[in-house]
Amino acid sequence: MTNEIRDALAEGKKAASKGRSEARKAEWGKTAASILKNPLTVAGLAVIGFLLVVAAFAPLLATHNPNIQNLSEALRAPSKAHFFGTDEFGRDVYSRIVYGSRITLYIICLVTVIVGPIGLIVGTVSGYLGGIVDTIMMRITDIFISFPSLVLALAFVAALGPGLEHAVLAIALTSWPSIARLARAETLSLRKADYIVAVELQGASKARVIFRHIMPMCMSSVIVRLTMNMAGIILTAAGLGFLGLGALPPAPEWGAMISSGRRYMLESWWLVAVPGVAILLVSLAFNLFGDGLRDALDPRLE
Amino acid sequence: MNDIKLRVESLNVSFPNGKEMTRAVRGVSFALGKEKLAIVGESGSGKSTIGRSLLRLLPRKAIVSADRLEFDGSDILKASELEMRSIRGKRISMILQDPKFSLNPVMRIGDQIAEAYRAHARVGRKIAEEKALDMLEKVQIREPGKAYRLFPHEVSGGMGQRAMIAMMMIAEPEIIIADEPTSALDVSVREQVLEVLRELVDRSGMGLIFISHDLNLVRHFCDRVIVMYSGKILEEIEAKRLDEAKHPYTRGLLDSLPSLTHRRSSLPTLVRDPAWLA
Amino acid sequence: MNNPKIVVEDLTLDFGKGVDATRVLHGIDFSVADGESFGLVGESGSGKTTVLRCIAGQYGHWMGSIRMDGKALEKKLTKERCRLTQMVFQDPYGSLHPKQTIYTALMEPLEIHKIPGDGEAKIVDALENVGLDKSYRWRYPHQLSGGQRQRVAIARALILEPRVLLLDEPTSALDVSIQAEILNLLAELRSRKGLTYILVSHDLGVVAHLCDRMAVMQAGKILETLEAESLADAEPKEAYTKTLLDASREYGRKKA
Repeated sequence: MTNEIRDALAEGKKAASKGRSEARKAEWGKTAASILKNPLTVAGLAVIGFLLVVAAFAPLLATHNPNIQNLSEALRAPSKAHFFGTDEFGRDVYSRIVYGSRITLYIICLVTVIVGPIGLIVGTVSGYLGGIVDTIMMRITDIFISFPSLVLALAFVAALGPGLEHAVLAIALTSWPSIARLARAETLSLRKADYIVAVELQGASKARVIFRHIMPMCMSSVIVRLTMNMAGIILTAAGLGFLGLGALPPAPEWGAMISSGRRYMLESWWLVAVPGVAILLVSLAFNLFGDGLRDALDPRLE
Repeated sequence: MNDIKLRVESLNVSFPNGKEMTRAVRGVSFALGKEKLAIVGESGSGKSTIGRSLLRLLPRKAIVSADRLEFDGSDILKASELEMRSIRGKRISMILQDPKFSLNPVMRIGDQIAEAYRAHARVGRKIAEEKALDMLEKVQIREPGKAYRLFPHEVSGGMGQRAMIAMMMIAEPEIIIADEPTSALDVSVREQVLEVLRELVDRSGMGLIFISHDLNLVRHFCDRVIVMYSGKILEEIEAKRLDEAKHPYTRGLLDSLPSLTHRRSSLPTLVRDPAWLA
Repeated sequence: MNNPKIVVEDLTLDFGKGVDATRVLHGIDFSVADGESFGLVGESGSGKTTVLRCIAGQYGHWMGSIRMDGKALEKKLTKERCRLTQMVFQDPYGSLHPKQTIYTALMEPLEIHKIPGDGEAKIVDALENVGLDKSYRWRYPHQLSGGQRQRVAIARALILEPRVLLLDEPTSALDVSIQAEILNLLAELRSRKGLTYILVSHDLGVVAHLCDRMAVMQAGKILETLEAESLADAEPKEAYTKTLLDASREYGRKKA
């Protein structure tokens, strides 16, 4: 206790002159520091950063136009002119990978932006209100969970026609339930915490309790789960692309590249290997980063 | 003091904390004979750390050093893990605070006690069961046969704690370390558990180290009291002479307790002198 | 008692429904005078905290009547209701939101009730009342010690200016030396602001120090009511009370 008091006082002297934003910045700084402690996490973060850079500077990094065909150069092995060789239409594989990163990023962002808020809201509202609201929302969640994403995507595409946005919607619809369940589980245990009861006794409305007090506590686990889901999302998108249900040709989506390269795989290994490795690296990076994030944000360790 | 069982000289325990080092125990020295010794302190005083360091149960990153850490003539500090295993539970035992958390929730109480016995004595299941039943009776649990078959969540706090005592004493250790054994129990149950502990310790001539934050409790229960603050020993005094305590911290602790018999309008508060940390 | 502040009559509470229902409170009766400090003593399972939570408004499914200043307390937690009583919780490590600064935690009730005036000034004032420097408002709970957190919890409870403070074992999780400070603070606040306290505790010493009268509870019933002043020599009627008293007296008595 005495060490605690001494530390608190010392910190207090430091924090005495600072205000609210400083306090918050100090907290973020601590989290960032603990994230950066694990080398694997840093590696994952580096790959993600790399992906962002490649996507942002695609026009500068690509050596050729990804869509221009040049049949005389078809199926060339990797060389100085074509880092990753060419495909069956003579398009530069390297440039297609580079531009394909934009599509991958687009899918990840869109899915996260849909899945995160919906899952969080459904989960916290359902967990906090309980009763009939909880029952109904959880049954709806169950329905969505029982659909394999690929099957649902097929159904969507059959109904709405192929296209990247439809594929993304399909993926989003099958990923939100796990976030909702996670948020609900957290909410159920948080509901009984003294600090929640305290704010209820102060007269806070249910909405206020959920949005201002419960959601911030669920945020860490949801962010971690979203990050780790991204690996799966990339793979599912690749799978859809592979089935021809994702981005329409000639879009350089990595999964679609593997699909079309399948036919020439045995002689032209680079058609399949390169996009495959790209998908692998990005999935792995998100997994590693998510792991490290969870270690850093885990409230138990605080 | 007769038959010194344990000698501790200049014990230091530190925990690395990022770039800093937290010194939990600083230069602690004491000896334990056939007596009930209390180690009293507030949170952060290092009292629990001492208990665990005697059994070498601290996390691996803890740094333990001492001039002497001797149990019955043999050096604990340098003993191998194998040697420690033969000491833990058999020659030095530890009773923890909350039976809710220290008893295995999926094993029946009797089985856990029997298992504790079989860990140190090469006997068959039947004999261990009988010994366990015998122990349950010794800790004054009525209907030991019925209690044997209960799970930890089916028994009250007092009974669970007595079961824990049975488990830790069944191998007839020479030293028992009790870490806040009654803090999680209701007041009306405490006396009963303490009575059981007192009887078993007195009868078998064990040494008892009683770790607690409750000065009033130990003054009636133990023979000697060691007062700790921030990892150091501030005072060592006979329990029945606690009122003659000289150190201002001990006096401060005694005075700041609200008492039934001695009502005051304002309780004296402890003023911490940084000199105590030196 | 003339003009009691709080009157509890035949308070009864069941948990669970139908065949699984367990009766936790059996017809509790007691009154608390204005400005009095009343204690509820008992061990775990006695129902003392449950009584407190009924009065606080956390549980709404009780039967019987609870009246404050003659008016029946509503079972719903309306904004007016919240300004009548406030609660200080037992565990200082769980009663403050881990991700909110002290400032936010203290501002919250002011915002909920749309209290006009300078919020910051009120917060600084509230912290000073509990002996904390105003710089503490930018800290997070994990940067505070147990005693400091409990002070913040008291400040938070008082910021809406309730007349009645409900204290659920406010010092049982604190070290002895810190307990003395908090008990002194509570006593001082009560006399300065003329508050009424209902204190729940299992520690007779604490209750004897802070309260004028106390009710001993066991298994959801009040066994008897005692005066704090005469506690040391009291000859209780109930055997259970005698056990509690003896256990506490033994600890408090100075050995001759």
